Amino acid sequence: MTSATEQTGVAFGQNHSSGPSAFQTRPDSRKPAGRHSRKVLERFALRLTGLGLSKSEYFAYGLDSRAVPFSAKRQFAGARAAAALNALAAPSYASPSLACLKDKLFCTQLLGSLGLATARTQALVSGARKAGDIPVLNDAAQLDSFFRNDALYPLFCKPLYGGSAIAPLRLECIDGHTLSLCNGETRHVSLFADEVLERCAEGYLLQTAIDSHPQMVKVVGRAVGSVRVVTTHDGLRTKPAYALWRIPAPGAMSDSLAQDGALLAHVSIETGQVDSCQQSPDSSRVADFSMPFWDETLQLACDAHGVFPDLGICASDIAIGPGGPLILECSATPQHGLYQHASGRGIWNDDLAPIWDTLIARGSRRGHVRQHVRDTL
Amino acid sequence: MTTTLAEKALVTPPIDGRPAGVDTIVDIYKRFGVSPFKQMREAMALRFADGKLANHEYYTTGAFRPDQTWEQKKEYVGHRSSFVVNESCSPLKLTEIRAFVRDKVPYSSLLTQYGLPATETQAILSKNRFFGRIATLRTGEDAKAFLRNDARYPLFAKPVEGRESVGSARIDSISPDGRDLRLGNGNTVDLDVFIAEVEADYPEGYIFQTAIHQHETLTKITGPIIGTMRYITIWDGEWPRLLYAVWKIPSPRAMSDNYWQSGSMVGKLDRETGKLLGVRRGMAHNLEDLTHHPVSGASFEDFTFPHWKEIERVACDAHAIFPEFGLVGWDMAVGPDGPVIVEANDNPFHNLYQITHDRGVRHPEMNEVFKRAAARTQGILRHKIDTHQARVRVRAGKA
Repeated sequence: MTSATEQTGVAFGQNHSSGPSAFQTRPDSRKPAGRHSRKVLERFALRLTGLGLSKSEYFAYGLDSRAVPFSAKRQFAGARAAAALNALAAPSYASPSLACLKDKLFCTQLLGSLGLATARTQALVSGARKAGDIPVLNDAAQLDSFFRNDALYPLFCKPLYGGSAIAPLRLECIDGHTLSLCNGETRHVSLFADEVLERCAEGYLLQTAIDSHPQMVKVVGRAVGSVRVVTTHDGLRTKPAYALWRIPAPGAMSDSLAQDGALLAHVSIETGQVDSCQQSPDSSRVADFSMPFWDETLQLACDAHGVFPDLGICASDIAIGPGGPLILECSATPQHGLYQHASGRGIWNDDLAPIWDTLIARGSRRGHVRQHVRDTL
Repeated sequence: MTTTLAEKALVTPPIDGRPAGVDTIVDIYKRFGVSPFKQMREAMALRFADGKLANHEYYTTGAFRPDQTWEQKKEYVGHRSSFVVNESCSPLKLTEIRAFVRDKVPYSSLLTQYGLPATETQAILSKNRFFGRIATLRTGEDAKAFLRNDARYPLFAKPVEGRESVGSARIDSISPDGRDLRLGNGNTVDLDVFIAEVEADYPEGYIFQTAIHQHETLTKITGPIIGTMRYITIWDGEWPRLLYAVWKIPSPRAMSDNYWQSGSMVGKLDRETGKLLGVRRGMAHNLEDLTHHPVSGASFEDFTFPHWKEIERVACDAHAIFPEFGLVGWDMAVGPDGPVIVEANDNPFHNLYQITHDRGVRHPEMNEVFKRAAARTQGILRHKIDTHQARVRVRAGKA
């Protein structure tokens, strides 16, 4: 039995020294990778003539290896260059959908209203606000009562907005006063409710947890590993660019990559098969795995992006359940570094470069339109 | 009468922003005794006052009237100042989502998903966008096929992007041979001509919605053309509430209810009960009070809006979906079963208030309300910035 102190503990850990935590934390991506002075010249060359790779990125992508030719290294983009690509594909002045995608509830409710399969939200923890038929809980008593009386378990809980310091968790059931988390830990319901309000007052979603497709459960366990399909829109139609599979760490509650043992795999758009994975001794378990419902997953991602044609780029996080794919959330600012980690290739490789060139041309046209409007005014 | 392309079947935009003509200036001098020199001097001074009235707004708002003090004249707002008031209540930095609120189909769809009554979209003519279960028509031929075979009439059609009913039309039916559309204003338009006009003038997309069936007490007065209510909600305390409401009574020959269409009327409504307190037609020196509808002859006296409390609940609940907004202008229709949200306006122009209430919207009591709403949203903005900065500090290890 967990002690009261442990139960209250720090459910929402904010850094790695926060003690027992139900919520995983974000990795500190800004740590330098260490000293590798022998590659200084190459790093400088890539930073200045390539796509702005920083020192830590150079080592994180394994570009210090002599086995990788320099031409391939030049295809890797640093975080700032990747962000610039996103900004060009969905410039804020021409992309009204950006704000909609930031709010996970709006985004999924909108897509759900248009008939696309999405996760079901049971309740929203927030301050004074209305969400139609979805109950909005804004004090501890309401939250406590929801957990005890109204929630349909298992529940998946996550922050309303991205960029939060806390990670999602899955609640399996409630027994008396005790909530059971899917990693086997327990929390006292009242104390947990207090903590949610204290740390997540900005907004917290309580959704019906999705079970993974049985084939995926066999390989990676019960926690849902979402598939991220990045699609592009050239102004007329949507098409998939690349896909990744976030594979949860064994015993994890979510597919947060911050957890030790979590993996990231690159999935072939054409076949739906895992064709490469982050370097890890554990990666053999997913080698050559074929995604179920692959055509449906790609179609769902393209349909979701089609609702937001002003965005040149869109990443749809999709869970594949026993009945088919469901959209969990969408983002217009995917971290392309994940692709580089998973595939071992730079995003400016020969396969993807034409897609980005099309996006840049579209962004540039929109820039011209903006300039024309300004000139006219 | 069948409309040709040159005549335009759809509602065309008003010619706005022209300075008042000599006729107006002379007429105001004759009827109100305000000399042309005084008109010019006041219009110029009010242009640089807080209300930022453009020359034509000095007349259309009624700020020229001699029974108003100079302080009262300064309370009137034009388009620019109306935006300043709205932006103070709903800061741009906090309301990035406003572009989505203006996106008519997804926004209505979201409201429906939230269990709020909103318009039903039957189909959309769009070359590049996907709308899920809503029929998407990619070409003009698709649109013709829809209007011939699948549409459920009557329809209300309008552009995806647009405001003030420009480009809208009510389509009552299609002829048995599928060649002509019968519009709500009694005109008939060739289907090919109609679609050609839509494709030429509104390439960004065009929406076909189910026309709302209006509550019979409203139809008795205005006929079948929908007269929506401009319902302004303000969030200056615990929960959104009604700030003011006016009824936009459509012109007898119009297909929609925008006040700039000749012959349109506007009614002042009691906030507590929904009782109609007066109806006006026209602008500036041509403003006239009406007691009866000019076509139906129905009396405006003792008329009370049906479903008043339900209207308030729906508008306030819809506002509460977006707590970042301090002020929202709703276009609400009232059907047999209650209110239906037609559109949300993040930047409503307050001139209808000024016309119906004989005073500028920036009067002292209203200013206090705007200040409270602005203080609330500024508090939210400050909190978000603080939260973000705290997270950045934590990630940087400085906490």
